[in-house]
Amino acid sequence: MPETKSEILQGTLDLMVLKTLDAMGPMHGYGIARRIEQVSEEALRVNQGTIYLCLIRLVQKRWIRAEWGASENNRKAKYYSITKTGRKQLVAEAENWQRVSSTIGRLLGLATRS
Amino acid sequence: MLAWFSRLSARIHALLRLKRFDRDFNQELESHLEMLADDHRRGGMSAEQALRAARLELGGFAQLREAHRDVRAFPWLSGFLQDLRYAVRTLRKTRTFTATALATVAVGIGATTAIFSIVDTVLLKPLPIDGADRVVVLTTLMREESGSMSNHPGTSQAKFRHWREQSAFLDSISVFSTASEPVNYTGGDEAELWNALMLSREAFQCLGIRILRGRTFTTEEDLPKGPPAAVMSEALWKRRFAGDPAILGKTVTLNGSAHTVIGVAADSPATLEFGDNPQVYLPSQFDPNSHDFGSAGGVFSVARLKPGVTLEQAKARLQASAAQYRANFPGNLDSTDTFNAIPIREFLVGDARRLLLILLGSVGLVLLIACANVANLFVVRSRGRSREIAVRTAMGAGQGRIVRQLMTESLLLSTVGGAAGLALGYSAIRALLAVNTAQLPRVGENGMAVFLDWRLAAFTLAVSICTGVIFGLSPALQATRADLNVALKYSGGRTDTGFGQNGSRAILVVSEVALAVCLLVGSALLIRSFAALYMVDRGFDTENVLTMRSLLASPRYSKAASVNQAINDGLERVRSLPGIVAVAATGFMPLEERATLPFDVIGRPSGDSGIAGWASISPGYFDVLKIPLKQGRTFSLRDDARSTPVAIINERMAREFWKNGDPLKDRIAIGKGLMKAFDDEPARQIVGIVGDTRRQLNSDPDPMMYVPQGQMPDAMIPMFARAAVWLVRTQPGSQTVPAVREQLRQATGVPAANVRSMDEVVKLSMARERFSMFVMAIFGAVALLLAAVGIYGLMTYVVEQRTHEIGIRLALGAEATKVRKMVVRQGMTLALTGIGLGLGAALVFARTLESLLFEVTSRDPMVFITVPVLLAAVAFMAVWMPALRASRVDPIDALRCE
Repeated sequence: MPETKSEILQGTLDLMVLKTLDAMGPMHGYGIARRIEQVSEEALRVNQGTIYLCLIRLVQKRWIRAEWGASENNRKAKYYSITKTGRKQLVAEAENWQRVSSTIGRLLGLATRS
Repeated sequence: MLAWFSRLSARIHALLRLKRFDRDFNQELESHLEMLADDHRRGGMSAEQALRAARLELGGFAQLREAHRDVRAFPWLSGFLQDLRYAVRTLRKTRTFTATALATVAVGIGATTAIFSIVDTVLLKPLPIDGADRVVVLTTLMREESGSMSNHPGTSQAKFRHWREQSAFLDSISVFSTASEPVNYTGGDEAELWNALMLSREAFQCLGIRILRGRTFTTEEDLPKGPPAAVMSEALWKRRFAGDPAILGKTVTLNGSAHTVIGVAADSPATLEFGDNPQVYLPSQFDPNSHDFGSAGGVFSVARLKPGVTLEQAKARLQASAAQYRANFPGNLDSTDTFNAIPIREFLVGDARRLLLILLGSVGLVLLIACANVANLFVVRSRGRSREIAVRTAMGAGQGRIVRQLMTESLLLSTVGGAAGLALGYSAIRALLAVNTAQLPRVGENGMAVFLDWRLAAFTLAVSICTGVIFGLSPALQATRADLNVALKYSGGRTDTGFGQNGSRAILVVSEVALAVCLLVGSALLIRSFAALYMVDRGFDTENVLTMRSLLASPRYSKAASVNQAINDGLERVRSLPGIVAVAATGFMPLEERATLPFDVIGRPSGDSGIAGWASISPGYFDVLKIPLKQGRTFSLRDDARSTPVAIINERMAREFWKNGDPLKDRIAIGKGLMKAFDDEPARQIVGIVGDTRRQLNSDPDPMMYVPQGQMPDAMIPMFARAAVWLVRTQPGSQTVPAVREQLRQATGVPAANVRSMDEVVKLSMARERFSMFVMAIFGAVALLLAAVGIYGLMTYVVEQRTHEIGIRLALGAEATKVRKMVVRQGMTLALTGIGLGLGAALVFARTLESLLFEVTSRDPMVFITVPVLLAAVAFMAVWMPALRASRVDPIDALRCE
């Protein structure tokens, strides 16, 4: 249902890509997009083009690296994998996310109670 | 921070490899599409449907690529590169336009760069002296006849003695001579003339002259008759003595006496700032107990401000010290005069500052005219492109984007033009300075100190960018303001009569003409001044006169008698050579050197003394220079040490100091009490009056006294008679220089050097006037040309635009002459408006030139009539051609070309 599919914040997409690569190992752009959609049970809709803008940004920050390889169907594809700095960044960002989301959760909870 | 940096470097990397990254990304997207399509096929779609669905899902390929590019590199930069490529393409297509605009920009920027390179070297470049801001030249602030106060930096022994006592607020108080004096070096295999700089012992430190080896003078060596010592320059030490470290302690024979070499001074740029490059430094040996008030030319006092003392404080304390000086040395400092200090930079630059600022201002006007012209060209072209721009706007290009596009074009043009201008201006100024350095300070020999460096390059770049913005902005803004609908419907051509939408172009042309009037008035005034200067009766004839100089400075010439004998022998020998009309000797190069001395008329009350120029001359001096004798007699060989002391004065002196009475009946006493050397000076009978001569061409003749060389007292020989100047009048076309030099060498035993014609001396004395006239004349000519091109361009364009309308008029029976008149009237209205406005501005501009003018007022009627007439005539010609074309429009062609 389109109404329930949320737009995602830019920083959030970065975090999701990093987490996906950390959990799944090297993947190509298409795979990452698919995976995010599956994990969110199709609740989040990733514009498939946007994922590439996110990927190039992360490559530039050296949090992930890219290599050409062959896909499952023997197609040529670019594989992305997380780097050491990327992992560190993931930990930091994840903690940050937890903190922010719990704060927001508390805030929203307070709002409904009062 | 690190992430930020790695992103930056990645972006730059991406920018440089745009193609490769694009290809890479295309491949990635393609494989994405295929995989997506594969999934869809597996879901049961046909191959074609699957691909279509995949494309839709992925979104716009091109847009995605653009977005990707933006993230990858700098969007503004790749946009800029795109604009740049486009600009190059458009400019290439319109070759005539581009060439005209480039040439105009190059001339404007070239002229500006040329003048700035001099301004930078003379006024802006820091002095190569540590803490130059704190180095001051001590001066006497004198009240001029006009009532204004001016600084005179000449130093007498008495003044230096006084200033040296001001150590409460001044450090390293010292003297130095700017004019390097030649000294005879003998004792090597070959005699040489070295440039010597006289300075006191603290001057090395004060002026930042570094000692490489050895030491500077001791206090004892800097006293009169102290042990003779010399510091050698690094260059001379290396050239003449092969850099021998054992030079210290050796003796060299200078002017016939042995000097001990005590040190070697580094050739720092600092020494170059003071006249000729000195080769040897000698102690000035000022007498700390002297009462001499006379100041030898070119000797100055310098000091450093004590830490914590400001220039203002030092000035105030020097002023306050004047009373003490008057008490110690009565009768030397007028009550209206006082002491002062000026920064050494001001001293070195002197009055060149004014000239250079005027030239810089003028060249700014030239640049503005060039900008107006190029702006005009751009407006014309943007009219031609209004359709293209309208289409782009309609397709969604923002106004900012179009302005940026057009600005890229103007900036590209201005920077390329600027680069050409830099090359043009730099080579022009080098050529100009090689011919005439205009006696400017700090520019070095033949202007060698003016060179291309980052300062000049940065200046040119800045000017180019400003120029591009100035001439590009208004056409760009105007282009975007155009009404879309009108622009798209019209293919150009039909407009109403009058200037209508050409208003801004009309303003440009009017201001261009006005600026040209200013520049032309300025250059006409300077040309008139120069002509007046050239025509001025100098009072003597310089044609076919040669000058050369011998340095009679060895111990052999310590007495007047031996000097006179050598001079008379030399004159006799030269006179007997073929091709010689007359020959004479003097202690002062006419036009370049002189002494000014006080005199008293015997029998008049004391305190009534006057001041006049003074020169020692041999018989024949007035014949060589063709100075007419008005009364009495000239000198002969009989006027020697044993006969009655005599003097000759000029008419100006006679007029000024003998309002009634006959000078030929009076005697004068010269230089009494001024300094020791004049103690033996006798009272002299005035025996003749000669015609006036001008020392400086741009000022009135000074009162002048001449005394016979043969009657110089011994005491004055070292001061005035050492550097004998020979003046030789030859028959036209005779080649006599080698013979004359040989005879003079035999007579005096020293070489006769520095051979110049008197015409060269005159030319040099007008060097600065010639320079400013020449430069302003070029500016004026360029302004005139650009203004003519501007008017011509505008009128041609207007006529082209109105071809249709003119065709109708002609078809309806208008006469060709009427059409012609209409166009002429329109063009001339602009030109005359510009001339009118320009004349008003020129009145103001001309006033800034006043100090450069000679015998011409800044409101010279001739100039203010000629310039408008000339400009109007040129404007008329520029208008006439388009007008003629308009009247010959074929109505049928005009109407058909719709």
